[in-house]
Order: sequence, then structure tokens, then C-alpha cells
Amino acid sequence: MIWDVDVRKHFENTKRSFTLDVRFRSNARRLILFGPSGAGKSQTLKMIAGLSAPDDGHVRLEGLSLFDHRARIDMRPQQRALAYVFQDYALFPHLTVLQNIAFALHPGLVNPKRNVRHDTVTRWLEVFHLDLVAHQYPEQLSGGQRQRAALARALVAEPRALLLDEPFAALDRALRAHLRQELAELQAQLNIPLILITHDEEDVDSFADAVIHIQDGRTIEETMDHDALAA
Amino acid sequence: MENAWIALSLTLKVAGWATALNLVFGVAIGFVLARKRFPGRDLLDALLTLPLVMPPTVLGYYLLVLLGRHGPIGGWLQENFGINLIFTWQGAVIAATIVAFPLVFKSARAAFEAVDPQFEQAARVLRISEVAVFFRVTLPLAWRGILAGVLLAFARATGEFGATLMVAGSIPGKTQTLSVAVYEAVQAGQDNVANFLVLVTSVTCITVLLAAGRLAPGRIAGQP
Repeated sequence: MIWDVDVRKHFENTKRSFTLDVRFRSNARRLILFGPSGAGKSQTLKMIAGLSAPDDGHVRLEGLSLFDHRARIDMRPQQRALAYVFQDYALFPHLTVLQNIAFALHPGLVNPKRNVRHDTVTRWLEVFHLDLVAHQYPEQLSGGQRQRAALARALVAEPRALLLDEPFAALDRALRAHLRQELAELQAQLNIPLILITHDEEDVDSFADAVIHIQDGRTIEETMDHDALAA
Repeated sequence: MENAWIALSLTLKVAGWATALNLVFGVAIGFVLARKRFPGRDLLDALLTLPLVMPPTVLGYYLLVLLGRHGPIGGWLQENFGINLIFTWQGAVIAATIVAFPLVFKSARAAFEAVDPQFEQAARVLRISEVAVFFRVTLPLAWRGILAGVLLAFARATGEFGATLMVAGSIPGKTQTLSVAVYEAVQAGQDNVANFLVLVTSVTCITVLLAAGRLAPGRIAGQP
């Protein structure tokens, strides 16, 4: 089993109270969490990444417990080694594209220098056609370039799995189709499990091996592409 | 006139130390108040802001009571280390530090609160230690706001009068800072000395403000 997720968390503030109760098990290499905004998809993804702690339940990836309330396991996001691409990419605004992508290769207290060189970084810059903007700052990039830079930054760390929060939402339609295909090819090459959250049907149609539907904080339905699972 | 230069260098020394201390403590406390939730947080914030609204002479009096030879801190220092802070330039540093402290910690807190926590989360996922997250992401993104507060604190410490006079007194060449020297000169009817001191003080303050304006506007740390 690739993903075994069973998380519960209660949120409460003055305006509303919300209970998240998401459970799914899946062997899909390309899994989509689908649902309207506010359904709890991002929260679920954050819990998988260790950026938010569930009240109860467990998160397992290929048999490894990342979180288990009963066994008192709660790996820090640093230890989970999952790549996370944020909806608006969260590229560090004070660092160039090159420094952003090299970020994970420098574990110390200092950021990579502006003229830093790494073979891995150079390779990713080429793969994502970012060589020409390597020395620019994120605010100077187009939407597509930002998305690619965020992806490159995440992949340099050689993650166990890739988590993407609405990766195409900030892009225009034509670009979306193109990048969707690019991501699909990349995933096939790297062959690491991927979870993508979206509220766009087109992402589901063109991308998913399996879909988990989430609504009002609950898993309501699961659809599978059995051919993909057999492969 | 020579005394004026001594007073100026003493003033810069006191203000420099006060600013350095505030940089460390103001930034640390500003960060904790911005990012941690704990009971009594609002009360702590209010207490730490007090020096901004209290008359410096009142602060000076508190310090005198605390740091004096029979005070709880002063007595302890005297007994264990033979250290006396009253009527020393180190005493003036403590007075200036406390008076200028709210300027640093207030702007540091606001600057840290303005940093989107998502950047810190992104750094964590990239397997950077928590300390590295602070020094590589949080601090550089908050730096501009902090720096503005630090420069204001330096200017405030340079002009400190009330608390400094209470704690450190006015010993020429030892604890007599520019602002205190101006007061003494006017009291003694030495108009020439007063004029000169006022000129030196004004030039110093304008220089600091120009430096602040040059460092602060429209720039993100690390960007050309």
C-alpha cells in the first residue's frame, strides 16, 4: 500500500467549527484529492507533510509511519522527506531562482551564494528551461516559470513522494494543459508517488490513476482506475 | 571644546552598546511574541512597552532602586562580583537600552508577524533545521522592518537624558553624554559650549536619520 491515511482534526474559531475526517488507502502512483475549496484538501495535505498535526489517526507511506497518534509517532516535516509544492509556490522572495533551487542542498545556517554551482541544480534548470532566469528573483518570473522553479526546488531534495497543492490554479488555460503533461511525464520518469489536490475536473481526467473525493472535511467517494493499478 | 568630542564619543559608545543589546534581546523577544501563543502574552507585551510611555526619570528611579548598592540586583552584583553600575558608563548603557527597547521589539514583532508562515513551512519541508529556518528565511524577510526600529533605537539612545542622568549622573569624561553636557553648559551659562554641543548633536542625529533613509526604502535584504 502506497498511501494509508486516516486523519481527524477538529478546528474551531469564533466563526465556525469544522471537523476534518479523511480516510483513504491507495496504491495509485498518481492520486488526486478532489473537492470544492474549503473542503479540507489542503489541510489533509499539510497533515501528510507534517505541517499540521492531526488530533488522531495515522499517516503511512509505503508501510512507514509518518504519523501515528496511538504509537506516538509524529515525524517532523524535515524527517518525512516529502516534497510539497504550495498553491502560490512560496518561492523565497529574497533569493534568486538558482538559490531557491539549491536551497535544500545547503543544510547549514547560511543560504547558498548567488553564484553557487551544483550539477543537480544545473540539470534541473535545464529540464525546466530556467537557465536564462536562474539569476532572477521570483517576482520577475512568469506564472509557469514560478511553478517550474517550485517543482525543481522540491525535487532537488530527492523526496520520497511529491505533494502538490492546486499546482495549476494560478496559471492560464493553455499553459495549464502544457504543464499538466510536463508533470505527468516527469512523474513517470522519477516514478515517485504523487498526490495532487484540485477542484478542476480537467486535472482529474488527464492525470489521475485514482481520485479521492473530499467534501465538508470527509472522504465521500473513491474512484479507481484499475488498469493503472495493475500496471 | 575638547570636552565636546569626549562627550560625543561617550554618547556614541553608550548608544552603540545599547543598540547592540537591543538588537539581540529585542529581536529575540519580538520573535517569541510574534510566533508563540502563551498565557500572559498581552500583559508581557504591555510591560515591555512601558518604557515608551513612562517618563524617563521614573524609569531612572526604578533602575536606581534596583541597581543601587542596596537594591536587589545592585546589591547582589556588589556582593558577588564587586560590580557597581551606578554612576558608570555601563549604567548609562543599561538606562539607554531600556528606554530604547520598545522601539526595537515593537518593530521586530510587527516585522515577524508580516512574514508569511508559508515560507517557513516551505523551508521545513526542504529539510532545513528550525534554527536555519530562522536565519535563512524568517530573519532575512523581516530584516527591513527590524532595521528601521534598530536605527530609531540608536537615535533615541543617542538623545537619552532623564534615565541616564538618574542612573549615571553627569561626570565629565566618564558619564557625561552630549544631552547631559548641553544641560550642564546652559546651567553654567557657557553659551559657546552649549551652541557647539547642540550643533554636534544635531549633525549626529541628522546623519543617523539619513543613514536610516538610505538603508530602509524599498529593498529586500540580499537584493541589489
